[in-house]
Amino acid sequence: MIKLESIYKNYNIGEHNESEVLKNISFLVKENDFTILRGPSGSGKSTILSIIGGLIKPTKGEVFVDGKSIAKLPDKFASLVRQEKIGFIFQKFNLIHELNTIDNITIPLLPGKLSRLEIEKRAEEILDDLSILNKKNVLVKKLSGGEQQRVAIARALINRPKIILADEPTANLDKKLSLSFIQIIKELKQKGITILLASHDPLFSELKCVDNFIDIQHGEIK
Amino acid sequence: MSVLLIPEVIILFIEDFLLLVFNTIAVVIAYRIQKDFNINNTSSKQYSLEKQTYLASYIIKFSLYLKIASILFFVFTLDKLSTIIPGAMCAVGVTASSDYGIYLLLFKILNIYLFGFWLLLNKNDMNDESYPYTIIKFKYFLFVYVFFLFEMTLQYLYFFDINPQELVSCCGTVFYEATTSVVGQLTNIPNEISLPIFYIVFLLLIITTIKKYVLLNGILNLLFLVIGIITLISFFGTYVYELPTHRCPFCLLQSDYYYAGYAFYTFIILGTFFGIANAFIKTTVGLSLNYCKFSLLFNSMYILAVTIYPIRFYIINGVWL
Amino acid sequence: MNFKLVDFTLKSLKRNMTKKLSVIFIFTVLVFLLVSVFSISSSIKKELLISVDSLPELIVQKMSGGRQTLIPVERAFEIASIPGVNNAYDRVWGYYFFENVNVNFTILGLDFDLETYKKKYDNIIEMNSDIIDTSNTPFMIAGKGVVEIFNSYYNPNYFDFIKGNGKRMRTNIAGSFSDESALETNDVILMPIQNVRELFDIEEHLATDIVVRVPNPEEIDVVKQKIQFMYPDCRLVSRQDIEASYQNVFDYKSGLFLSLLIAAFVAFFILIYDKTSGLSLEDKREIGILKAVGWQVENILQIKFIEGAIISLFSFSFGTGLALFYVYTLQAPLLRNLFTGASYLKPEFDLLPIVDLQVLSLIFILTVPIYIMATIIPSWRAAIIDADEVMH
Repeated sequence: MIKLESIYKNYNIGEHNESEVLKNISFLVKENDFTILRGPSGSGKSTILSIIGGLIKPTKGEVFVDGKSIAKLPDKFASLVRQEKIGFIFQKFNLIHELNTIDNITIPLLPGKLSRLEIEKRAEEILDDLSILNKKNVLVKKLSGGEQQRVAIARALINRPKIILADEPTANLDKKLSLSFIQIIKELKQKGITILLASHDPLFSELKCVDNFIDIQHGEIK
Repeated sequence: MSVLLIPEVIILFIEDFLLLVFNTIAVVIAYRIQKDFNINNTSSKQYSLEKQTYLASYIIKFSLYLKIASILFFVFTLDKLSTIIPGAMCAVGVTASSDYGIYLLLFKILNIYLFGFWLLLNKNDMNDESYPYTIIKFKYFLFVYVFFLFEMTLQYLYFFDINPQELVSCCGTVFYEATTSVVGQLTNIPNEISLPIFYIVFLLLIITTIKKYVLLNGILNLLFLVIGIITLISFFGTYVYELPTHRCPFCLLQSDYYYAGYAFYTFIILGTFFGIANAFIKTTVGLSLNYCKFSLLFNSMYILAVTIYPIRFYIINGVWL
Repeated sequence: MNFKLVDFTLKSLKRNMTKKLSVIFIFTVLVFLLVSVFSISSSIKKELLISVDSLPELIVQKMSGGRQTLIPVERAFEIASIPGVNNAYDRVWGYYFFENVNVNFTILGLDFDLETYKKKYDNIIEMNSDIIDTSNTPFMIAGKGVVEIFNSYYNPNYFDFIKGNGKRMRTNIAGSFSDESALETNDVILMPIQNVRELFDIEEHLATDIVVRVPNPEEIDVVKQKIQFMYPDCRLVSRQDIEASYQNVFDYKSGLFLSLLIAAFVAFFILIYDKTSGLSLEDKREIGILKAVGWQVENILQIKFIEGAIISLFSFSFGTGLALFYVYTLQAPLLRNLFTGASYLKPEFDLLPIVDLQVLSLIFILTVPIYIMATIIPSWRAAIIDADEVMH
């Protein structure tokens, strides 16, 4: 489902402050696998996720998402892959606070061809699954941390992605909410979604349902 | 008093000046891109170029829409000027009041086609992951820009050249009497010759569309455009006005004739545009598109619309004009 | 057009209203100025054209040494016999300068018994027929504006004209009239022809000019040529010429105004460019989020365009509404002085309310595309924001 081949990422190429953030990263994530990218902050995990999501282009190497090579795709098509196949959950949730819940989660589908009704229907289904349907019209900034997290997850799921990429999803949560998050992830895996999660939270190291751990340090796989 | 202080003319100049500025930005980008663009390159320069393609496309797209609105505005302005310039009864006289007039109008129409071709190329380019036509479309734009400059220059020359003190001729003389101008000569081709050519070309269009002779279809569309306008002025138009001596391409746009002109021109321009565009894209990038069908549709609507008038006249009156 | 995106943009605008206020303000002010000036101009032009409308098709003036002189009355009969000419009248009229108020009255001589050349004067004569006495003392029927002037500056009952030879001619104010066009009533005085002849010292066989009625517009040029041939010393002014010259003057003034405004347009453009360029951190973050969840550069360009369209359309409508209110309800204090020169009388006239669609579409075509063009580059800059950079 996800394949990286000799990925390198350098910033400020040719300048005096050139930095090599990723060095020769190669790995494979099989379909429906739950994989954890482990490593301390700054090790390059977020960069890897961004590259897989098509938000960053690698300096060298190949990236395959669901069989399709995306490293050299122009922005338009990379965005299309992202929109159709990937759901992104960010560390800081990255929700639009001035909008309400349902407006936030429907954003990914707006440019597409689905009608407003269909989109709303889907949104309500997902909100219901995540038990926050009653917060449908509440402004996000008025929600609690745990509720905001569910909104972030809901947004990542609205386009029925095959892959979920999560970047330090539990970094701002307490243990209870973290466990609740893990529960949701387990349910997603059961639905057949491939999950790649970057985290240095020790909570994940103890999980039994994880299929694979990839350790990253200083931009390289250990 | 010069024509230049008429508000409409000032507005035209302001907007065209702005268009010039923006299209110059676009052409600079176009130059850079056709020189260095390489989709397989992963350097930051390439990404910067990719971003710049968006700006250039936005500008050119906007320019086309503005130009379409602007040409209508231009025709209205000419019509308004006809009340000020002695002898001119409608926009035709105003166009003829300066040698540059007819060329300006032709260039304006031509450029709408040229910009339109670019947009079609762009659409097809952006729908392919490898952006296959990016370089060629921007090379093409360099060429289009030159025509655009011509148009701007002609416009400037034209409005500075109009002298509201000078008497001009009207459609009566421009199109009817034996004149030495190319336009006059074209519209003086006897109807016995031009009408059959008109219908024959249309039949050929049908054939080439069915048989998918794309290049031939494109050339025929060009021919159809020319002969279509000629017959409109010298034959079909007279049945709209119900006056055999009234040969005027502009009066059709007025309310007296239920704005029929808008339908005519829209149909024939859309029809010939798609036909020519199809051939253009085939020859420049080798892409086969299916615009011939649209072309045929609009051209058919054109022929239907114009043919109705003489037939209706004959049915009601029992004679031809 | 993706309506979901329009919806999103609307919601977004509601959230960011305060930031957009400056842009809306600038645009509204510009539209307000333009619509006001052009409306005042159109309004005055319409008034003039109303007055022109009732003018005869042709006016024949005798020229000598490039100046207008009195024309022999018998020419009217000769002209009347030209085919196509319905009728030809001689006119006796002139200007009288009233020093105290610094105005020129137009004194028109009418034969109160015969059919006159302007229908409306027939009506006035009928309306005031009971007042019109056939005494030998001079009398006048004056426009409402004139009567007001006399009331304020002279005498409500009579006026003493001073003839060329210095003698006074006391003229009774027998009645007044008002007209659709305020410009007419403000300086016109109707008097019996004999009195006008006396006032201006015009002999019996001469007239100021001759008025020709040619009902068929197609024949005007031919008649014009014939009269010119008959009397080479004449100048012929057709109604069409007058209309065209009014059109010219107004276009000229409007054009002048527009040219001056070019400086304002440049400022407008720069301001809009500047205002829409400044993306706050919050804005950038939002665009980053949109792109991160799958929006393409084109989608961002789309919403920026929709935003521009909504703002410009709203500001245009608002500015136009304000301007029309200002011009027609408030009667445009301050701005109207741009157009009314010394040739018009002190008594203010009302601006006729007309919503001239042509003018509005002109201003629309001028302002909205320029606004959108000013937002092209800022929109693009927003659309190419690197999603990754703003989120981490």
